[in-house]
Amino acid sequence: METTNEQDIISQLRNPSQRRAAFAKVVSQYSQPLYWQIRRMVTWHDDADDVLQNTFLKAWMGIENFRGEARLSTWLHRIAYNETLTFLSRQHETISLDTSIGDDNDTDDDATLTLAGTLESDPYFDGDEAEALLQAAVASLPAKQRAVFTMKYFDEMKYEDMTEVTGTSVGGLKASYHLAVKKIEDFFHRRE
Amino acid sequence: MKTFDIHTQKSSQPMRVPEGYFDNFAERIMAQLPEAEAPAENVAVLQPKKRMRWIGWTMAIAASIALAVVFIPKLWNSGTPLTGQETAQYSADMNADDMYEEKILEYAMVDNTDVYAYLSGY
Repeated sequence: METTNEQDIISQLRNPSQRRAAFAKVVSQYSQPLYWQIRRMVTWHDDADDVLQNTFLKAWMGIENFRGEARLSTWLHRIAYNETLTFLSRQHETISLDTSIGDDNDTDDDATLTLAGTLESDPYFDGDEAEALLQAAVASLPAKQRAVFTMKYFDEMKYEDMTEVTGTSVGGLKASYHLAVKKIEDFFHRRE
Repeated sequence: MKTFDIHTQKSSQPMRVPEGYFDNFAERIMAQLPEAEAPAENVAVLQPKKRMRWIGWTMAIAASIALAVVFIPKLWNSGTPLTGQETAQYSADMNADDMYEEKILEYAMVDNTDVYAYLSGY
């Protein structure tokens, strides 16, 4: 994919007559990385599609507020992160089941196993049982721990970059990652 | 039951997307974008409910001032019986206040239904 120079895109975005065309380039360039950031957190394709659309709509509506203090990619990832957290929080409100794991609660583990089973039959999931269990365990983490874990483990992001996206300190991110790893390890240990 | 060691194993990234999803995505999202590019959230629009609340507060403050004007002197003089002239004066003042409030309501085009709606919180 051709990568357009970020400064060129930003100056085009600031020009009302070029804004729409420039934004189309932004969507083409960033839809894939943003999609995967969102998808790893929300698990399902349809949900990721909804959140990604909202992300670009929010970016479009707020484009005049983008002053270029952060990189365009960081700004977009931050919007995607916030939209994903909003989605997960709404989802959590509608699901009566408390999905947090790691507190030796059999009901939580059962919910995670059910999710893993559903994932294995999902047409947009191509992993074995162990992969499905890993994804289900990640999906069962509290939203912010899930975000930190997916950015670090799957995307291999540096903590400094994660700070810009999440607005959380490096220390806070490390603590969240450590907790997430511990909960996932505990989940697998209970299955042995 | 299979297990997964996140310290030694790396995920194979098993998530997939429908075929052609990213090819069509940009076109799909661009078709949804509104033409108006001004950020709507920066425009302060006085909503009907907020306008109602503003009218209600104005009415409440005007009524409080009217009541204070009428009753505070009366409290100060509560030990002294009112003369016929004072009673007539208070009565005239209260009528004038009522008429003033009615004029405000008329000017603001607020009818009883609006007042009841405000008082009931709708």
